[in-house]
Amino acid sequence: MFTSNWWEAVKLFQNLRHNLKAVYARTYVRVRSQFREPEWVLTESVIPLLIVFAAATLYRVSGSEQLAGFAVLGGAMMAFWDNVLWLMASQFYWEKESGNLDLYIIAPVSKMSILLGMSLGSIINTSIRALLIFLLAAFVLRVPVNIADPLAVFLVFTLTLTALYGLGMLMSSLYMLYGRGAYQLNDILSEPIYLLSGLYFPTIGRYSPFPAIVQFLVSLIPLTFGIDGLRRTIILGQGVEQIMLHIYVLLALTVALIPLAWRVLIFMENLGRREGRLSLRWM
Amino acid sequence: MDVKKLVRALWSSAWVGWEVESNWTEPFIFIGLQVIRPLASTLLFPLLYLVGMNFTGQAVDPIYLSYIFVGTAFFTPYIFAAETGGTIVSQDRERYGVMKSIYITTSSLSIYFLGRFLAIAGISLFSTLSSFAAAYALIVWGIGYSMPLVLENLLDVFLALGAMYIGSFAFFYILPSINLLTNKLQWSLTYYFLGLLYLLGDIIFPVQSLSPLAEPLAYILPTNQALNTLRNALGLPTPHNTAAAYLASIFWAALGYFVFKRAVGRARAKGLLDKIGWW
Repeated sequence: MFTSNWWEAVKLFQNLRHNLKAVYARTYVRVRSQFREPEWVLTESVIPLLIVFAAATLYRVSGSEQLAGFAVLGGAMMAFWDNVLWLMASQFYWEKESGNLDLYIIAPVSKMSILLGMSLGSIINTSIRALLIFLLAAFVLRVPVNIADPLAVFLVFTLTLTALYGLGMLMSSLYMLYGRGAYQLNDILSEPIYLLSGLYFPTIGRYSPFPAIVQFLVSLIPLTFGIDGLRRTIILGQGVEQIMLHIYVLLALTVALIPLAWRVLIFMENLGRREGRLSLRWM
Repeated sequence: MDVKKLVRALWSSAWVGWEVESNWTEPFIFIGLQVIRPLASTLLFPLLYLVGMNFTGQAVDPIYLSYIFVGTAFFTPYIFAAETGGTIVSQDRERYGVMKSIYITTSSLSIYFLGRFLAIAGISLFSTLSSFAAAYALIVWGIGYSMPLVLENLLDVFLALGAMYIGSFAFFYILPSINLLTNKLQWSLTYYFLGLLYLLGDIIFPVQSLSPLAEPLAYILPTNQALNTLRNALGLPTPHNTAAAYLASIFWAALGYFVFKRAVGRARAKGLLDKIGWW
């Protein structure tokens, strides 16, 4: 009895160690690749900046200069959404095209560890870019930053990223079996999400131009409450008490999305094995 | 090349373009890419303006709202041309490996690109008009803001559309020219172009509002006078110059075609027409 329990504990520990190594390995590749082509960091920071400058200028020209910070924050967070769409959701599609997905499938680790490593690497890479976008835009546009409660900023930011990358993991699992269709779905989703999630202006609450039902539906995208919470804590100077709803919603999304991603991943992998579609390319 | 062969090559290229870009056999993707996505782009900045004015308690200026609306709606042809022009080389050369086959046909890459452009022009016209109508309905009847747009001069509308499509033709040739010679920019070039145009192209504000020194750009870039001509034709009191719209667009189109021919020559000389992978 004692021997059996001890043996199981050893196996569990070994399994955990293997999976943690896989998480580290996948994170390492993602972070390292950024430093291999550093010009990409600059490229991916400058592109959102152009749109941020345009949106901030529109605020200025129309006499709402004090809201330029909304555009700056949106530009920084746009980096995370683009990353979730193109380097999380579609990642298994790219891996399939390049032949790596087969290796992931036969590796003796949970596919969730690979997704977790991808997420951690993406969060590190994209945070650098987002910070660069925010600092450059805030400096050039002289945006007043009004942080009254750093803990509130930290809480909202962390919860936004966990929920958002939970969504990325879920989408990645869903996209595992789809080829060109996944690529097109990303294309379809990018602009409508920029609009609905409120990257540049509030889309939930009193000033939203959308009806209540649309506001409810867009609240299911973690970016919506995340950006609104960051806008309130970084630009409007609000504290934890005023953003409790944001914290609850983001927490609920995190708790729902990550286990859901796990279930969907197992389902899609089994489906792919049955139908022999895991290594199909060019479809 | 005789005319019959030329027309057949153009038709075949346009047909390929229609098949690749429209996804007409998959209605969800077709509507998503050709209607929903342009509609979201068209609504983004007018709504930003409206929310900004409400947030700061200012009155909405219907003329400026209409200015932004027409600018974003009719920027769509440029977006389509830049997006397809920016990815066509990576798709045809790197992904599907068909560029070398197209190159060795009796037709030429210029004709193939022209055919692809014609397909994009047709699709973008449909997308522009449908997103214009849907966004107008949403803002005017859905949210309840007035936009004083009236069709004052149909000829000017056609003239403005003509200038716009000549300008977007230029993008369709300039962007692939760069991508033929490097594959480092295939994901970013389009967005540099579009980002710069959002800032300088009179899309959502006159370029002079950035700095009075920027005013010459309103006559140099292909978008500014074309969009202003259209705004004027739709009843907005926007200063415009139709001749300048055509001059700028034709200049950019000729430059685009010239640069493209040179880029194809250089790509051939350097063996880049069938180069695949990271280089």
